[in-house]
Amino acid sequence: MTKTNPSFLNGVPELLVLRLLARRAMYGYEIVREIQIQTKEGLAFGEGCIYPYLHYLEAEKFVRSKRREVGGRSRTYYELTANGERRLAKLSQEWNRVSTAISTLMGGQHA
Amino acid sequence: MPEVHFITELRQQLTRRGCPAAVAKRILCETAEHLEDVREAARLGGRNEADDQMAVYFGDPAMLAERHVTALRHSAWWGRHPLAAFGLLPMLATPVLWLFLICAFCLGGGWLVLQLGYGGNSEAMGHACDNPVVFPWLWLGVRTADLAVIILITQFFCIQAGRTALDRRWMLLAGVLLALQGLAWVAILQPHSFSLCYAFVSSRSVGLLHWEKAAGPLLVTGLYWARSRWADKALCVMSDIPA
Repeated sequence: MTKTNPSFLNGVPELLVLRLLARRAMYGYEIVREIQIQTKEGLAFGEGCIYPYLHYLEAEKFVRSKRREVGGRSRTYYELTANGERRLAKLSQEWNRVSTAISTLMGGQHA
Repeated sequence: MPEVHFITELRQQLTRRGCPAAVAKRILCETAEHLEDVREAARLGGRNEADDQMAVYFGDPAMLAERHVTALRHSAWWGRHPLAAFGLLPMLATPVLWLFLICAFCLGGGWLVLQLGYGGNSEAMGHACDNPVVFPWLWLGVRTADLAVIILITQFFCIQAGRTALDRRWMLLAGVLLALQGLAWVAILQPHSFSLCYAFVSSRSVGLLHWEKAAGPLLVTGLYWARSRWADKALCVMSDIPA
C-alpha cells in the first residue's frame, strides 16, 4: 500500500496537460480552451499558469516544443515525448487509484 | 491595463527577477501570441475585447513573472538549493576537478611511458621527468592547469546561476569563495614530488600565481555580471518581441 499521495493534487494540471497532448500537438491557448471545453467549464486553467507548467514539463523532457506556422500564424506547439507517455501512464494509474478510493469512501458515506 | 503595457510590464518584471534573456524572450513571445489568440476569439465571437481587458486573462504581470521565475528556479537543483550549490559546492569543486585531472594525467602519462619505451623502469622515467628540458614544461603545465581549473569552475557556477534565474548575488558569492580558495589552494611540482594542498600563506609569501588565482574568479564573475546586465538591457530594447 502506498503511504502517501504526493502527486495527488499537484499532479492534476500535469495529468490534464499530458492527457491532451497525448492526442495531438497543441499550443498554450489551445490547451487552456480545450481543458475548459472537455471538462464542460468544470475546470478552468489560469491563462498565466499554463506556460510555467509547459516550460517545466519541457525541462523535465516530458514534452518538446516546436515553432509551427498554421493559418498564417506562427506559434509554439507542444507535443508529448516517450518520457511524457510513461509519465502520463504513471499519473493516470495514480489518479485512477486515488479517485477509486475517494469514490468508494463517498459511496460509503452516502449509503 | 492595455496589452502593450502588459507585455512591457511583464518584460520589466522578468528582467528585475533575473530571468535569462532567452527564456524571457520566449515567455514574452508566447504571452503576446496568447493575447492575440484571446483577441481573435473575442472578435470571432462578436465581442470587442478592449485592450484593458487583456490583463484580466493573465492577472498581475508581477505575479505572472514571479510564477515563471519560480518555476524556472525549481526546475533545477541549483535553483532549489542555492546555498549548498553556491556556498558549499565551489569549495569542493576544485579538489574534485583536480582529482579528475590527475586520473587523466596518469592514464595519458601511462600511455606516453609505454609509447616512449620506458616500460616499468621507474628510475629511467624519473630521470626523464627531471630532465632540464622536460621539467619546465611539466611545471608550466601544472601552473596553467591550476589557474585554468579555478577559472573553469567559476565560469561553470556563473553559467548555472544565470540559467536558473537566481539573484546575481549567488554568483558573486561563488566567485568570492573561489577567489579566496585561489589564494589558499596550491599545486606544487618539485623534482620527484607533486602535492596539492591548502596552505594559508602569509602576505609575504603570496606569489604572483596566488594573486592570479584570486583575481581570475573575480574577473570571470565580473564579466558574467556585466554580461547579464547587458542582456537585461538588450531585452528591454529588443524589437522582435511583439509589444
